[in-house]
Amino acid sequence: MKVTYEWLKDFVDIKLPADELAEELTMAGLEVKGIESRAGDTVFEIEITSNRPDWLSVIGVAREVAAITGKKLKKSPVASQRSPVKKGERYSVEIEDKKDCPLYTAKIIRGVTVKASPEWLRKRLESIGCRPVNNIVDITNYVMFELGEPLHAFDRDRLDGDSIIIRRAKPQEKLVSIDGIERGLSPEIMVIADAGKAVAIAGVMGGKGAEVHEATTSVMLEAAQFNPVLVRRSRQKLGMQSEASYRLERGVDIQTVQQSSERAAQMILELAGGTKVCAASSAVSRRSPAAITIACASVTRHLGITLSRDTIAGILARLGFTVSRLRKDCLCVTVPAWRQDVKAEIDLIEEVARIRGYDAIPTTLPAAIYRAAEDRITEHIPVLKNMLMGLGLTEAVTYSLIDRKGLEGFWPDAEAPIAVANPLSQEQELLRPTLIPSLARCVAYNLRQKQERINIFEIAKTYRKTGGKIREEYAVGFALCGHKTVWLEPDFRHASDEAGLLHAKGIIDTVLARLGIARRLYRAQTDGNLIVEVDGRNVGRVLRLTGAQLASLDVKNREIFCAELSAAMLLELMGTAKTFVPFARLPGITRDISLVVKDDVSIEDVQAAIVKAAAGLVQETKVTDFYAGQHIEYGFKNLTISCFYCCADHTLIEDEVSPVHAKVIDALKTEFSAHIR
Amino acid sequence: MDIEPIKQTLDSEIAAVGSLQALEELKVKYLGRKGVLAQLTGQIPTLPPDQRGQFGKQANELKNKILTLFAEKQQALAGQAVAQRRTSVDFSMPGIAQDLGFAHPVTQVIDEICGMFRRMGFQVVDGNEIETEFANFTGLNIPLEHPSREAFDTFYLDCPAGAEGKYLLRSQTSTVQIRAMSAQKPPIAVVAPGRVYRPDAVDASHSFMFHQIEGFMVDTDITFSDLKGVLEFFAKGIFGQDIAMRFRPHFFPFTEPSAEVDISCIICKGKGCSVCGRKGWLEVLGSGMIHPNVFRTVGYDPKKYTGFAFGMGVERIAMLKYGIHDIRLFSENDLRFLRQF
Repeated sequence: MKVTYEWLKDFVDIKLPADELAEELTMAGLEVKGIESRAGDTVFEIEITSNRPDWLSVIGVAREVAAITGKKLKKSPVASQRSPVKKGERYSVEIEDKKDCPLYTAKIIRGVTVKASPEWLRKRLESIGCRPVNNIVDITNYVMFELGEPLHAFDRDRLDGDSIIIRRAKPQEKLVSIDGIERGLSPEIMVIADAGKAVAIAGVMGGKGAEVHEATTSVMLEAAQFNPVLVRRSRQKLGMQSEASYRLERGVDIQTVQQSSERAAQMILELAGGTKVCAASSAVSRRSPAAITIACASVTRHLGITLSRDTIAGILARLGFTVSRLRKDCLCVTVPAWRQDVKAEIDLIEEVARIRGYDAIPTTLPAAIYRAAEDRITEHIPVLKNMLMGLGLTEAVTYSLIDRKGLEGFWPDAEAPIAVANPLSQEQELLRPTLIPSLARCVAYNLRQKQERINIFEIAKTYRKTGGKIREEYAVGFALCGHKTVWLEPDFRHASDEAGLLHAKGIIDTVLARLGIARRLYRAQTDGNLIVEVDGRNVGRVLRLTGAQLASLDVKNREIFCAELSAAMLLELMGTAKTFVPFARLPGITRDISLVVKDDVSIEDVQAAIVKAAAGLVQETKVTDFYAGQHIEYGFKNLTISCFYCCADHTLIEDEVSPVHAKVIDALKTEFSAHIR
Repeated sequence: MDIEPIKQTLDSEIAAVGSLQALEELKVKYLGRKGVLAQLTGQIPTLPPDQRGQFGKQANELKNKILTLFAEKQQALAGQAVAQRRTSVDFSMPGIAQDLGFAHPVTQVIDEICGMFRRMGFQVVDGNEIETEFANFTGLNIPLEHPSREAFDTFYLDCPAGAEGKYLLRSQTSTVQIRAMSAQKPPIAVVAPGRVYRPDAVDASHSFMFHQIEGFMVDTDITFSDLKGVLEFFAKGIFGQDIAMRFRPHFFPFTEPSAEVDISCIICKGKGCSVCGRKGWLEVLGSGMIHPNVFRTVGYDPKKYTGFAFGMGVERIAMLKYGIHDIRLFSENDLRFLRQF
């Protein structure tokens, strides 16, 4: 909102230069966003918080200036004497629902001359960015900016009948607003109507039909209090906004409505001539102003400073509150009409803090230490992230919302994801049930940017509706593309190794082992992807993107591998305490087994069988060679497994190992029909 | 040919040898088929028979001596060669290391900020992103039809409303106030980082998804001066001890008194630049004393307890801290961006 330095001086003496005044206002909660010199005046652009509709006026800001600087507010510009009504004319105000419109005043002035406003008035309006129209319209605007109540002047002769009606619009009713646009109305919208038709959208904008024009001689001046919620809904429904609706949806008090109406009428009589022939108004149910008790102790309890009762009383009185001393420590405060926002003691404490200045409050640190335990998720997500970063993956943060198309081919159609009811664009249509398409997109983007070693992860929520219940759950996702991350040998031997399914498995195994989850199982799917199971529960999946998926990402000649695990399940399954297992320090004996087995034999099973057959003597098995290709019968693979025999209490000798190793070989032959080479 | 001069020449010649190759050449000179030793032994038949034994013995001694000397020299030179090879790595070659992943700058800033609050006894809490109108609005003293709601434009979900009203994606992390206070009695001190969503068109300074950190502390005697102290500890820890701070009155429906917190511009040190809009101040936090109505919502007695709350945008702080000018970089995930932090 804009106010000018000179306009403020109409209401209060200001000794401070403009820039210092701006600083004071900012530090009192009226943030001055800009200062501009204009035609010998200074214009302040102030950001007004939504709780203070009274600040949306010159007088409102002037009251604040007076309170801050300790100056008295000058006499109100509104003449205390009401302008007399001559040649009484009948005109009535009919309100359909008092809840929609608690107060409506209509003043009729006949014999006005519509012309340009005097220069001072035009200049003031222009200085705050309001285009002058004619004296009548300019006066309504001027009073709105000055006192905060939006007014509207109708051409009386264009209003049919002898009453003004405030009602809801009829279905399919139409109105051309002043800006020339035809508006389709509905019963959610409140209108001002004459005997036959709607003539204005209440609180938002007047109609073209009853607009004041050059030939107008009689005006009907409206000042009203409308239900702020209704004004807001009307203008939202119509997709419009005006200075009037801006103020009315924040709320204007009854006293201001009446004063503004009076002020505008007087200015019209003065600047446009004419005679006031009628002043109609709906009945006002005046409520006695709220009285609130404030205790000095409460000020101390909330702010941490101790102020005397007189100091507090002084601050509140300067803001226009009526203050009387109650018991020893308390004040009884009556709230002025324009402060509808003040309802409780805490509101007064804020006023005291604001005017006293937040700078006057010291800085202290609370003495107590509160630290309560944190839950598993909060505590372990950073641990998971660190593991993944240690494994060479870089963290991505991708949008939780995704477009339907982006999910295509990555999620079974049968499981409908949660949709956003009011997306702004397609990319915000759905809450993603999986991280994989987002990560794959991220890889594709980086490939387009000619990046290499695109190994990324994300830990974020995924969202699903299961059994009608909405669930959000942390998932760990990662995607691999390009060179795997290894210690590069000096001859860069491994530099060209592409990341693959086994790298994804290696990453998952490392993470699971670190979490103390040894009992995992990879279940191959018919599509070649893997399901990761722990204790029979599906905790995640590993997949190689299909040709169609890669094509949808516009990726050519590259492979992308993705994995997704349920972080929630991992943290639920994780081993809590670690126990030290003694290891054999004595020398051991290594024996290699080279064997040929069918392709479908699980190497993990072979390793387990070795350990089992060796009855505790094998400490470790390692796959040291793997071959499946043209030099071996189709459907078979060749493995070399190195077995390390060792015993904790004595040094093993060949004679001890040999019979055990023979047993191991027998076991492999019987269990896997292995051909030992 | 006398043996003595040969011994002397040998000593000096061996001492002069500097490489294995030269040693090999010297070896040929002495021990080769036509070498010194061969010549020496070739003389034997020409000597008087009584001298032959003696000469042969001396020649043999010389041979042993030569062999020993050569072996010693060989070892010394070989050792030298190894030592030489060890130091001959070309240090201008790229170093060899395991690839280490990078944490997203948003994560780094969240960790740093939460770490600061943990030191003051705050507990980190994770909140839901799918929330209700109750937790996002009404419980926080934001009435359904109020202009203050406009600041929190919200994504609603396409599913039937529940007991707490419509489902939505939280537009602020303040929802955690409602959830954490409903679950825990005072004293309580919480920081809650996380994603928030608002239907904003994406540009250099807006995104429909960003991160906030909410924090609050409630006990029997928490005051506005504690709010100032805690936030000063935080801001100086993050932005440097030499920053100036100011607390400006503002309005938030869920706090009263409310304050916006500015720090002196870390770019221009308060002189005024394009980053701070020539004001010299940067707005970094919203804060205030928790409104009694919020306490009533969560079942805390406002006569017994006071507390403060604050909230901040993580991307904004990361942008200030790292000099990032476009918020879209955070969600683009370009490795050239991520690898800088």
